[in-house]
Amino acid sequence: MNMKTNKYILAGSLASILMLTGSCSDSFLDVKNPNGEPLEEYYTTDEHLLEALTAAYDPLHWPDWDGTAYNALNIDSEILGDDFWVGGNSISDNQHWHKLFNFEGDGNNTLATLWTDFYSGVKRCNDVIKYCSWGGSTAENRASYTAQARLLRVYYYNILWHFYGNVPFYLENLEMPYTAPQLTADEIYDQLIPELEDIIKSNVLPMRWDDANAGRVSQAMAYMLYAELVMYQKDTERYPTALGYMKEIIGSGKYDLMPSYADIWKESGEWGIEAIFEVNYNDDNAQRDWGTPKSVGGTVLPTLCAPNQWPGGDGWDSGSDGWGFMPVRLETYEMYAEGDTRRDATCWDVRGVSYNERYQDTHIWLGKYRPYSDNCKDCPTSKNLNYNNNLRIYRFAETLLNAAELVLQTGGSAGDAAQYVSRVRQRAGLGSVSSVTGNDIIEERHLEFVGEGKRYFDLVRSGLAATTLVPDKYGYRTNSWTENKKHIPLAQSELDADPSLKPNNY
Amino acid sequence: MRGGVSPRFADPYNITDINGNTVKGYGTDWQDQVFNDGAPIMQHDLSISGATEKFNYYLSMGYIDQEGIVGGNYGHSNYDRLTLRSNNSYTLFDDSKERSFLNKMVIGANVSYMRVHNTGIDANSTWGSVLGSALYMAPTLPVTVTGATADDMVAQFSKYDLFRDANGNPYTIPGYFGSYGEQNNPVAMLQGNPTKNWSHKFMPKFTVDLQIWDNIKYHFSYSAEQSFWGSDGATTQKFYLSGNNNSDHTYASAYKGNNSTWQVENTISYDKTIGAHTFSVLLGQSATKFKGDELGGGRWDLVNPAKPSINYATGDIVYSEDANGNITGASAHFNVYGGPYTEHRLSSMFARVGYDFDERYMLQATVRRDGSSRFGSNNKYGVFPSFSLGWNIMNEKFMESTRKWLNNMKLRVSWGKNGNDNIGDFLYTTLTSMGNNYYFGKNSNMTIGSKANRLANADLKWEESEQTNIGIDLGFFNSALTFTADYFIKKTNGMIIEMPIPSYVGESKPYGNVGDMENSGIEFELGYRGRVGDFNYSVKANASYLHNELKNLGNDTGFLNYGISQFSDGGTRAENGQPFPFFYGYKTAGVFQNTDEVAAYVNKDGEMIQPDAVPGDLRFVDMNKDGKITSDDRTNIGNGTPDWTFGINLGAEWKGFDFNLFLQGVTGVDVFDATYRQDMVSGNYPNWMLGRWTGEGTSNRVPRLALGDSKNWVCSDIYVQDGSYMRLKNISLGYTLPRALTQKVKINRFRVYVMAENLFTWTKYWGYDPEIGTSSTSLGVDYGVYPQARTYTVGFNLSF
Repeated sequence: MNMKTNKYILAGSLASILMLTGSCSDSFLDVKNPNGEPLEEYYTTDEHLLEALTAAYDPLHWPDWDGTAYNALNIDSEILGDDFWVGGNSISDNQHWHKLFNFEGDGNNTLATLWTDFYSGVKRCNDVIKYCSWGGSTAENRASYTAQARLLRVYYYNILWHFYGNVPFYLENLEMPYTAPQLTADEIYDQLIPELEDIIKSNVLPMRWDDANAGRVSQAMAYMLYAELVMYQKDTERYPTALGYMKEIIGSGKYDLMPSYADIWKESGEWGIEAIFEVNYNDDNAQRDWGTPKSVGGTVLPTLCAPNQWPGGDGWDSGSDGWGFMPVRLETYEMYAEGDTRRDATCWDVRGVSYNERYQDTHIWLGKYRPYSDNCKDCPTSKNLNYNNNLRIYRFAETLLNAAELVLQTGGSAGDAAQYVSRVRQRAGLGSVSSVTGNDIIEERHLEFVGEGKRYFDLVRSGLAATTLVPDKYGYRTNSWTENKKHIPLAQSELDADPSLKPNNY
Repeated sequence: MRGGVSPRFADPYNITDINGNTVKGYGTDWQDQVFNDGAPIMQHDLSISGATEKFNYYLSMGYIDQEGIVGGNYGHSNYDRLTLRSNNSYTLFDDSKERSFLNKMVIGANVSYMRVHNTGIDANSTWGSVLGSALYMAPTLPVTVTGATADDMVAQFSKYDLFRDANGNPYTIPGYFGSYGEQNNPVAMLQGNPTKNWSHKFMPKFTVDLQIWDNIKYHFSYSAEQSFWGSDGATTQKFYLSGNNNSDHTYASAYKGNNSTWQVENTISYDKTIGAHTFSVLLGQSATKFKGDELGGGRWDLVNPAKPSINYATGDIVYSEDANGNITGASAHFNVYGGPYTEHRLSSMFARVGYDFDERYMLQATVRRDGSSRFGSNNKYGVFPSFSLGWNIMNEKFMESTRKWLNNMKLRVSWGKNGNDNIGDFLYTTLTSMGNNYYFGKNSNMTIGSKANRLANADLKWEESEQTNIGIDLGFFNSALTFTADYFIKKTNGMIIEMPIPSYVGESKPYGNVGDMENSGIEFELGYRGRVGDFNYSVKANASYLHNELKNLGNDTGFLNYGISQFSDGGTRAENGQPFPFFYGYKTAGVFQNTDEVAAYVNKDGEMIQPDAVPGDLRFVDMNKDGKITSDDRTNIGNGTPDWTFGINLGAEWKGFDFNLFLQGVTGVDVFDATYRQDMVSGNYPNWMLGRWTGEGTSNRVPRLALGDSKNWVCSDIYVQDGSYMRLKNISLGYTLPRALTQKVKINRFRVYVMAENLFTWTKYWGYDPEIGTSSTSLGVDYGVYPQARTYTVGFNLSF
């Protein structure tokens, strides 16, 4: 054997020994994720806790389109009410809305994505509360983040409770076997109210956030949520407290009616003096697109409820897309009194314009969220999906009307209640009233909140649903609302995945 | 019968298209418009090999250029591939005759290279793909619009630059004339610039074989795969196809990715024969590492649409201002993304012993310990033993008498365990994930959000499959007739699947080793070779039967439903004791022909089972006998796993002519035709809808068609079709010129041939292709698959 051969052998053996030793050790199998960090190490700073809190707000903007279904929060309740038709391409377009509209929803035709979206919210809120308990940041900031997450969590549950009633409930995230007890609607209420009272009592959150933080839940938002909960539950014992909260908002000087009703719905009206809670959408540099529906961006709501193949005009360019959902009923347009400025802000009347007519088309559309090309022009992705309209959840007008109703309900005078109602009416260009009844207030709410997702729940809690939500003369709605329809069906897939869930008696 | 709407056409036998032209026959045949008949394929292969005492070499080169059968004539779905390969081995020294120690060393160096170019096309989607749209487009829509109609349509989309044909007529925008949802004019789609994909792959392999001692061998191999791939996309005009498929700007994008995988293996083996006993032992180690990264981006506003590139585009941050010059919004007209992939590493040790007695009894046992980076620290490793036994009965003394007719008889038994780590990375742990942002502030400023990325399962471990095999090989008449039979049973334990938990957990669901699956079956192969004078022929047939059963899904209910897009009240389903997955829906028993039949369909108490039904509605079977039709009546209505798979190969040779035929088929399989979009009312319907119920006695399978009627179109067996087929996969005829002739021009072999692939398919399935090819939870569901092409080949083989 010559020297050359020896060298080959040596080189070969060395190479293989290196490989052998290099790959045999356990650490070889430890790889790092290039895009993630262990939670316990990460959520220890103020910046990162704030990120977790931001992620808890994130699901608020999903329901209009979360990649699976269109379930814009206001449409979800308006389709159950008496101001709109469902519309769309046909009766099978977004079929779950058509089914629920006619009170014939089922496990496959329900608001399934609203459920999954807002349980994601619950889960993230639970996480924020846990991360804050690990002690990062300052005690003051932790208290604020925790209070926001707790309040947001009550809000998410409140929506699930309104639609579904009897829902699984958990305040700490689930572990094996990943099931939570399903509570009855009354039990959910009994859980949410003390939690909300505790958050309010802690007084951690400001009555109103500064402009830079608009979008965060505030003390005023907590008060509105409280009033909504107790009034829907008809928990009269708590009415005085709720009235007190309304008066506190009214007296705070932080909120007021906007002088012009129409201005509320403009981009400049977002987070105006009247806004107590809004879900923020924006077209600027929107990341949201069809493939990334949960990324931040604008909303598809104006596209959903706008005419199809619009020829251009009224601030909306031709070639824009409208899908024709939620045509406003003619009766809704006609219920407004002469001079009521709310009619033209609420109803976009295009009865003179020809375009591709869709199902149940009335040529009257919801003006509050009507599309303007200007509102999606700065989005680099799909314009359909990225209108910048914030979704108005709670407005000061509702504070006044809540106060009026609670005054009457707590034995106050019709005159005192009328003062609150008058403020709302005067802003709308109508005369003041000196005395109001409970039904007057429900009617004023009707005129004030068309398309804002309030009407159906007002009908249910005021007992008017069974007589109002009845077959119409057009043959669209053929079934009547009954007490069983108060809670919509749970999704079949959830009933399948958790056999202990009891379906609603729909 | 018209579902309560006024008729769209006053006289359906005399209709005009939107240009005012009479629609002849069936109007526009959209499928014909997008299929590229006579798409050419060109293929070349060349190889050289040779050997000297010390050096072996093999060089080959291949090239294929294939035009797609859908849109290939417009530059979509085309494919070309170049392959180069060089395999070399070099005997460094061979002194095995002279000494025992370190007496032989052979090194091998193989390199191969592959380059692929292709242009993509969407398929198997009912959401606006070329094929899906072609199925939906109304035949009353023409491909292009002319005259005043065209002017109006162009005016409606004046922001855009519509695709036009060679005569300057704009392609029809379906949405302008009706409600077609996401569907596009498929011919217009083909006018767009296709995304051009490319890839380069280098695969070097280096081996060393060293004889350390007479019977002790050391083997080392290092192989690597270096892949580079990417795509270039461009939007060269501001097109409009539909509301969800348009662009108000031009755009260029590019994407590049690469990965590098290496694998190293070291083994040392020892063989020894003592008399009739042969022993062998092998010890080994191997390790694999995969890593890679990607980078991509794009930019708006091409300077010259004919030269689309990121550098030759002007997109920048664009600010919008109000009348007073205040900035009101901003938008970035470019994007970029990229980063490393998560590494995947494997590390294994293994040992194998073999024993052979007198070529009669054979035994082999292996044990391996595999480690994967995809499992948590307690579960990284799995140990997988296996063994096999063989009995060569023919070599027994008592079989000597049969050898005249039975010349081979072997019995095989094997059992083994295997591991699978083919799952995502980091499923065992929860880490942060970014991109969960929200807007705060009056001006809606984006705020970064992060969260826990998943519910983790720290106990996730190797998925184990355990396979037992028993087989027999028989050979008769000097192996002219051969027969092989095998029985196998494969149990997969701890199948890694997404855990079937409720969605109200509020997070993407964890994966777990939750499922147990069992596949068992038999396989037969029968062959015969014969000769009559100059005529040689052979027949080979194989058939296998597979029984698939989900033993345990690992949740309380024992089932889990998966949807089929657009179909309510069913879909595919996993359930204990059933094949995985199966189609789950209602079983039907014909169509109610009249009200008497509805009234006569009663339960044991005499109550009507479907009181709301009208004539023309489906009669659903009350599976659970509770007297009414509810979601509990859903049942197994078929599955996409074939019972039998078979193949037949015929070959013949006569005086230089050669003939070959290959048939392949499956039986006992179903296809769920999910190409019908129920929410699309104005589009075209599948032609089986022509056979729907329109009055007493018209149909007992397809129900009445009525707008807004959803109960007849739930997931039921009317969509389930027999997916059995037999396909003439390949048939060829060749002729090899006599060698004496070709040798004169130094040609060793010259063969010309004609060949056809997929020439005939015998099937009852009404869709494009019964070979659906989808897998996992949507096995057998047809959303409009890209069909296999029928190809004809004329070619020659030449060897020197």
